Amino acid sequence: MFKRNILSAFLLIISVCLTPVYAEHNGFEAHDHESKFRADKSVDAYDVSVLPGEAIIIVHGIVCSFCSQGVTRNLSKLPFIDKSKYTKGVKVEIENQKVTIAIKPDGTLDLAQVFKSILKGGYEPVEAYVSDADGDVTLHKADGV
Amino acid sequence: MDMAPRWEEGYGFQVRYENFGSDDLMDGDSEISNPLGLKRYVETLWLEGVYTFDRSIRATFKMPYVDQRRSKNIGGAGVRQSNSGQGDLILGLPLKYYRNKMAFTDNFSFTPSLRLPTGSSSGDFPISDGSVDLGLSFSYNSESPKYYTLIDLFYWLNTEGENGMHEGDELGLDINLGYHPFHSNETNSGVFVMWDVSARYNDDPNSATLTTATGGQRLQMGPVLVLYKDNIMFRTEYKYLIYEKTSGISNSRGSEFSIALGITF
Repeated sequence: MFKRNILSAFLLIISVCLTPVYAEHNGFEAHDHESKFRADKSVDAYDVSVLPGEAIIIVHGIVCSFCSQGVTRNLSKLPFIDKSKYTKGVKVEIENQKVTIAIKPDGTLDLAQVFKSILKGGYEPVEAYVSDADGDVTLHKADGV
Repeated sequence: MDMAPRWEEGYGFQVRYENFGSDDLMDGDSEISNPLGLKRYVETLWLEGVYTFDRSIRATFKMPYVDQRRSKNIGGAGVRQSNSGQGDLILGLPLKYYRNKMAFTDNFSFTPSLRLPTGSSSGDFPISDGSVDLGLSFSYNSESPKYYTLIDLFYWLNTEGENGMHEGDELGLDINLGYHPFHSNETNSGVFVMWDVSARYNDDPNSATLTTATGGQRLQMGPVLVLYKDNIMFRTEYKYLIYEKTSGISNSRGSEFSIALGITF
């Protein structure tokens, strides 16, 4: 009897948990590939403001810094990351799923490596906002990584 | 939280101390008088480890060191017995399916486990019944920046061990509901609080088994506090015994306390 009760409770709880929980988190908008913005100007969907010489990557599911250490570690190993800023060049914001990377002034950003580092860290990159030294911001989708 | 390490080639270790025990004597779901002062207390120090091949495949181990003592009714007298030493090694292979949404991540886990008889099965209060046991767990885990849920249903199939000892099978359900009141992006540190609910059903062991007294069922719940900083996590937990029913005369399991320190790389 108690065995049956445990099984029933498990099935009930799991069905409740699976139903609507993350529907509310699905309401983001897509952007045109490689759209341009000015630095320090917010972009509506993710409220992104990118400083010159930095990039912000939107990463789905990154809600816990203890779980996302792999992302930080992988990104900080990339040769173009400026480790003098943030935590070894990387800042994770779990409230809005943003990962900011600082790029060396003489470094060449390789977004494919950035996206792969995030994937190997256990998460899905969605898109990156990259600011050049002049403050022009370019949007790059992570489709197909 | 429990999703770490989810990165490829990540690994971690945890040292965890736990204790349970009581001098309350149960018969079914009623506490009865205990004129002989029968009791049972068990303390365990666990060394646990995990290696992540990629986020969908991990390997785990849990090695206990057990220190236990009891006073058992033998011939109408309370006879003290105790034992300590290495317990049974548990190996697991968690297989996980992750889904990542904007501010939400979840996963389903299927974990086959093996409990090997590395503990001593000798003495009048053996640590192990000397059997190879098989475990299977199915769990669902979800997390947002503020909330955390873990539901885990597991079954241990206990086979017959040495000297005819055969512990009963165990069915369990654990539910963790958590809240994340504080986190600092700048210092990678924060606090989690959770409420843990645990239900267990144990089949009766056979009469030759000396490791446990009787089977039964119980419900426990209590608070969990988790603190983390970078790659280090501290966790402490207290489980109150809410309901217990033994299938014969046996000491109550009592409340449980655990404290753990973990690190991931």
